[in-house]
Amino acid sequence: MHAQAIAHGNLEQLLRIESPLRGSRPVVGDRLWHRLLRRERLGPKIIDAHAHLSRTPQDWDDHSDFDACAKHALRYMDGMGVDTMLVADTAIEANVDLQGSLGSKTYTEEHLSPYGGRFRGYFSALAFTPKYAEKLVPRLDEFFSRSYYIGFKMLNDYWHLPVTDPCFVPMWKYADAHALPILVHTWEGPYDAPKLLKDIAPRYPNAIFLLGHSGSNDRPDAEELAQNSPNVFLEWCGSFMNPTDWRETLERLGNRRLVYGSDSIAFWGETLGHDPAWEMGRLLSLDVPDETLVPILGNNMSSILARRR
Amino acid sequence: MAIVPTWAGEQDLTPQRTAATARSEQTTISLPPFFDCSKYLGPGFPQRPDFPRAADLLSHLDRLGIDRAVAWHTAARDLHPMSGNEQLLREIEGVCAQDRIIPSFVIAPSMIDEPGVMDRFLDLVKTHRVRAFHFFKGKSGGSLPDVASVIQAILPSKPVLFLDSSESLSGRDKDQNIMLSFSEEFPQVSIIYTNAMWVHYKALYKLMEARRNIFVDTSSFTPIAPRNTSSGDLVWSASSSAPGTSQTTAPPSPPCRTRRSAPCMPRRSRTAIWSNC
Repeated sequence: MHAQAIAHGNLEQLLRIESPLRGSRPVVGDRLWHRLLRRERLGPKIIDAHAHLSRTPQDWDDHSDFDACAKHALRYMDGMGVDTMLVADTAIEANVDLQGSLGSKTYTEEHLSPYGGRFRGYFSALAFTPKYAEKLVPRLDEFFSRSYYIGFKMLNDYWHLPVTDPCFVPMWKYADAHALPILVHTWEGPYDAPKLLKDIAPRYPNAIFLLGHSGSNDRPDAEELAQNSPNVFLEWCGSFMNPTDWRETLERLGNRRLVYGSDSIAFWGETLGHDPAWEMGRLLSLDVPDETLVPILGNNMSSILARRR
Repeated sequence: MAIVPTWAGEQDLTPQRTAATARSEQTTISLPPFFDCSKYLGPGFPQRPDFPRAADLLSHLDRLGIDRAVAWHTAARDLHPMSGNEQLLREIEGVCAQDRIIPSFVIAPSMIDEPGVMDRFLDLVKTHRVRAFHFFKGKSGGSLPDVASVIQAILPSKPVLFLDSSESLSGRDKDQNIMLSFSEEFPQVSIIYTNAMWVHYKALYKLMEARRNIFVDTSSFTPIAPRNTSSGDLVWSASSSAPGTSQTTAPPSPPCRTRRSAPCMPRRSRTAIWSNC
């Protein structure tokens, strides 16, 4: 009843449509889009390159619910056919035992490692800020010697610290040395607009720069950065802020320079943040062949991860 | 009928079992018909216009399984309201899509003083039973009170007025007061906010709590739907648009959003409008 009301009934009532729509019908077709509408597993390899599992974007104060978050995320993943979710650490102090002994895992790593390859993590780049660098930078080899962490996450708009801050130079170098991806939240503004990476990305050619949200409204700058530097990729979620037709972006960059991410935040029994079905639907409903979309869903990110050393 | 998997509902999920559960539990599913409240057609948008002609819009609707859509014409917003409105009617008639593309006329303060325009406008509204109207604050150079006389003239049709949240919904007291006054002065007018995102929620909910004739569409609203959203508060829309420019051609999955909205406990079971923007 509610679905019918929202789907057409309310508007028909308001507009006093004389021939209201009625009934329902099955979804016919075997495109990825149709499978999503039918809530089927999509089929191709899917890596959600941008997601969160935490109580709040910044921190949490009740760790006992974290496993419920993981299970909620797995429901979405299994239902849609997502193989792996790359989880962005945002906090340090609630996640890392700063006094910890060698070999001690972060909270996220400890709770998500049992799920094997279903979850992997981006280490928060806050580790390089003056408050934490002395304790954490020497332990990077330790964290990255295990399978869970695969790269770094930057959230500079929230940190009020530009990506150009010199404190991040050791991170660029580390990522370059080990061919790690860095998921950078990119948005117009003074902290993490794509153009701020103009001189950084080419200087570290083995580091992979994933432009989270594809620069938001600054997608033209994100595209230019990607065109000029082969180690720069665009990332899907939140990219609806810019109205440029994605078909045009794909024509300019090809379908190997974009990775799918949902920006979903599994939160107890719900999903906060972007709804993965919404972001996936936005991608799959593009008027391009499925063959164009398949690499974006997972193969591109898989290739990025395979470069790590 | 399509056989589709449910999303597992077991209480005790282990990593090994979740995938097996998702595969094993299957149900049939059917989708309601969709009426998109927020489409447009016409030239002049980014380099590649999304739907230059009505036929292009129909192809888009067919591809995504959308049965019907309210649409306005870009020329009406960007060039001249009445010329664009008339062009919209010609386009719809040209593809015989009167049942699928429901016209929405753009209104602007400029219509009031231009000789002959209001008469022509009202004639077309009556002849074609136009009940949907769009007001674009940014492009028109005016605000809602500036089109009050136009609204007054179309009141007998009990109009539905569409406003883009990015230009019409702010938390500023002045803007809130304008909308509260307007919606109180014209209770016969149903106001639908399109493309509301998380930055708009606070202002939006205040208005929706205060006025029963204010609605919101599901387009950009749905990525982060607040928990107290009721199905009655939403109108379906597939489009997600950046402020003041064209809608994207990459709509989200409408049925997923509809189903997600459906279980909400209704507070007012009438204010939800579907939009696939």
